Amino acid sequence: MNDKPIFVFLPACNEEKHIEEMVNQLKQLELNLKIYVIDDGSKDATGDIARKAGAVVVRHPVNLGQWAAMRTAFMISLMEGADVMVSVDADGQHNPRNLPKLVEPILEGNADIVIGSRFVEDKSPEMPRYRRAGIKLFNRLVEITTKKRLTDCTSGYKAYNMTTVSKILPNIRENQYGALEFIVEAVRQRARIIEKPIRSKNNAVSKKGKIEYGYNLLRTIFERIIHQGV
Amino acid sequence: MVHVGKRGGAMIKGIQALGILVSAYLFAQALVQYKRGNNGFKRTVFWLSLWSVMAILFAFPSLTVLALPILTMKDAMLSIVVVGLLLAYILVYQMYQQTVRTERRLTALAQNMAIHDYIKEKPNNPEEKDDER
Repeated sequence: MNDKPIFVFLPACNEEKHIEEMVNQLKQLELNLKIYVIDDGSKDATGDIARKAGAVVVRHPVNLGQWAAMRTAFMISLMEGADVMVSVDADGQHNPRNLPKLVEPILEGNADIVIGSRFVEDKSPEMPRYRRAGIKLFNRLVEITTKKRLTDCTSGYKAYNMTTVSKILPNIRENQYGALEFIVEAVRQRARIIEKPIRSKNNAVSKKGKIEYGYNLLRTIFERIIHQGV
Repeated sequence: MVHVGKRGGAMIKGIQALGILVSAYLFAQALVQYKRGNNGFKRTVFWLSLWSVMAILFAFPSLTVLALPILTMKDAMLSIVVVGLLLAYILVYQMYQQTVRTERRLTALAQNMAIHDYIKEKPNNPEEKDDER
């Protein structure tokens, strides 16, 4: 499993300010990485900058949302026969140097999904209070639905065992806001999910802070509950 | 008010209990049918809602009094408003479902286009070029 490259995906929309630095920092890691940027219908030069920085760019013709970008990332990883995939937010809030910590448990066969959690070490990381409250609510909902206690279920910094993903993905109904549905389905399929501490920078313009994003995550998890008849 | 007496009261309670049990059984059956894939999601939701309403009505029969003005058509205006609202709800719900379906199809289409372009451009990607060198 160690010889194959680790597929790293950065879903990005209008991130021309951060994308080059993110790609460069990832390239500096002493790991065999294949870096992809999913340009989710950016109106700025995100795709061009990422390509110049050395990433493979896959471009959505229109903005489809972060989960749709993740879905595309999963599809490409499966198509290319990847064993391990990592997702990193392209807005500069995640530190690429934490990547080895996330990948290690999967390479060692101790986990199927590793979530980079901002709350394991730091109980109140730097982020707006409403966002923190939203994350707590989602963690609680996931716990009620699956009995799995997580501290940062919405984190975009995750590592995946692709064999596990290939079993989960066909059961995900949601195209645009499936992050929580994915975790619920992963627990249902008895995937081993663990959290590793990460530190993140507060990003004021993060799309995840939007009310619409929160509403849609709630909607998908309730739809999932009805669908499963839990 | 009809006087039912002690025996009659016990009988009504028995009927209520039986009704709740039957509703619960049908509710469970709807779930089983769904799990087996015999019924779709929408149909299951419809049956689950129906059996839930039945169970609630058996548990609290006095709730049926609320429907009396409509059922007896005492207030024609109210009946029209209620039926109109119900129809509007169904219409809006159907439209919402259609929009969600269309959105899902468009998302899948856009994703497929992106992957298609990726495969087409693969030889020009940085890593592929590195391999060639």
